[in-house]
Amino acid sequence: MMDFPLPNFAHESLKPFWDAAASRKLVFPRCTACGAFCWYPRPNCPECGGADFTWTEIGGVARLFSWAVVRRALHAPLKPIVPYVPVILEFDGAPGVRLVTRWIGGDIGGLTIGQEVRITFDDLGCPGIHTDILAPLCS
Amino acid sequence: MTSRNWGGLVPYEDIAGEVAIVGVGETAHTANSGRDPIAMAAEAIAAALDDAGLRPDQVDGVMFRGGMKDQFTDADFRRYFGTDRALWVSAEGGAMTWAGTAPYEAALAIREKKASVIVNAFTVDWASQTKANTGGGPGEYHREDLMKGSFEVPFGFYPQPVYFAAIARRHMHEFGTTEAQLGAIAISSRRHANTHPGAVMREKLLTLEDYLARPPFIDPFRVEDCCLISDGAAAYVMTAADRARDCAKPPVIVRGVAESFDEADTFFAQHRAITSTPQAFCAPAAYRMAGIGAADVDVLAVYDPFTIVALMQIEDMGFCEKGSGGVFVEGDRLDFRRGRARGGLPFNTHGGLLSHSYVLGISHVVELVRQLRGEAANQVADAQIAVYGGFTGGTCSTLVLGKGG
Repeated sequence: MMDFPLPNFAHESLKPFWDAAASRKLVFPRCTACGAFCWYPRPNCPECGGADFTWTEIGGVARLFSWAVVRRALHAPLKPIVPYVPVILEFDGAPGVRLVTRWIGGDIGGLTIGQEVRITFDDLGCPGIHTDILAPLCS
Repeated sequence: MTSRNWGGLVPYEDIAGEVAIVGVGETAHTANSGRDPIAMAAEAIAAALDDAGLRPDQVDGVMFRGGMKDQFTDADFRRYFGTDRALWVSAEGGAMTWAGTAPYEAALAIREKKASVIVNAFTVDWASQTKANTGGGPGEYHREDLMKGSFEVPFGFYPQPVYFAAIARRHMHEFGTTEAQLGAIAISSRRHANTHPGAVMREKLLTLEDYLARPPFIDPFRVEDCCLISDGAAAYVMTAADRARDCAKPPVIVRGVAESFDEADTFFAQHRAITSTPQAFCAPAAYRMAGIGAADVDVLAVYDPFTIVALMQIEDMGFCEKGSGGVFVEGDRLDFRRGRARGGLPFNTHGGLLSHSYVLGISHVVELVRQLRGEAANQVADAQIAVYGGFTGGTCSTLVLGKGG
């Protein structure tokens, strides 16, 4: 699947996230000065203006914030995996972070907002497309 | 967690009553026209000038959208209309939010005597591009963004229908909004399109039963919750309010305008107030400039790429309490025939992006001008005040128009 949309791994502001994902860890930039999580990466902390960030592993519970069920792919490279379920997650203990990922846990009809989900490191193209990129999906 | 607000106002000077819209024009709106977008814009501008009773050589200001492809620039104006006079040029015009804010930029230019007759145009051939698969279209800007391209697109959170389906689900969760209530917006827009000669969906009927029976598309959206993709262009002509009376048609006065932003820009998943829009900031500011309240608005046109975006803006512009928009839009509330006096809110009386055309909101302003002149296809009785709600996702604008004397 050559045309599967791949992240930019090389860009310095994104590399720590994907490097960590390759070793099955989920990290987000945290302002060294005030402790706020800042997502997506940006040059300055929106809370205090600080410019120094520490990529910090998140260990708290992940919860389903919202989702959509894509039954007809508007983006051709993802056609082989319809229906697919892009989700937005929030984390207990990490306010300010919303992670966009994809639900691979089945039972789409049973999803509810606020439910706990598990971060599952698997191929970014899961299920069925092989990208050889390890990514934080959820189930 | 924080006292920092999620968005705010762009500071504007008071320009109430200074500028008028004196001419409007559009091309036909069609799917897959194969037409050149620049030629379409020229046609719309020529129609708008004709509508105003002005000649191309009287134009000394040209507005278009910078940063968007295939827009009609000052060079195009010279080429098509043969003028060699000095032109004031602004890349802060166009559609979306800017269909609402272009009159502000124009008012300042007129005040500073940089220009006296200004055209603002927007043109799009995305239906043709989508058909030809040339890579253009509404998703392109999002796909090319570094953060979206790395943290959203690879997970399938792309393009816009996916963002707003997730936002709609959140609105349903927080406020109890239903699919049938979203459908009510699609239905009223379609009914307006059915009696509007310029609407792409003029011949396509849609009832609530039809809507509910449609298969899921991007849950919780059906196709009918999403805007059309069409080719076309529209333009409007502005001049000083005191000069406007000399034009061919009754002037429409810009009484208030405001612009606002969400600090998370178009990173929708990161919007802290994800079920609100920046209309919450700019609508009250524009009403203040105009000296009106939401209750004074006779006809509303709102940028409606998805039913939920229309619903959120109706709430955020003060037509009902936040969260009660679903109940508010039920039944015939949005129908042009009901009117404010009978508890209605004539809304997108041309059919909007959902059923009229996808010129990204500039046709909404064209429609409001026609309403205030009394020449609309779906005429709201005695319309005195008309409001446009512009939207890009990261920004909003509110434009208050009043019937000129």
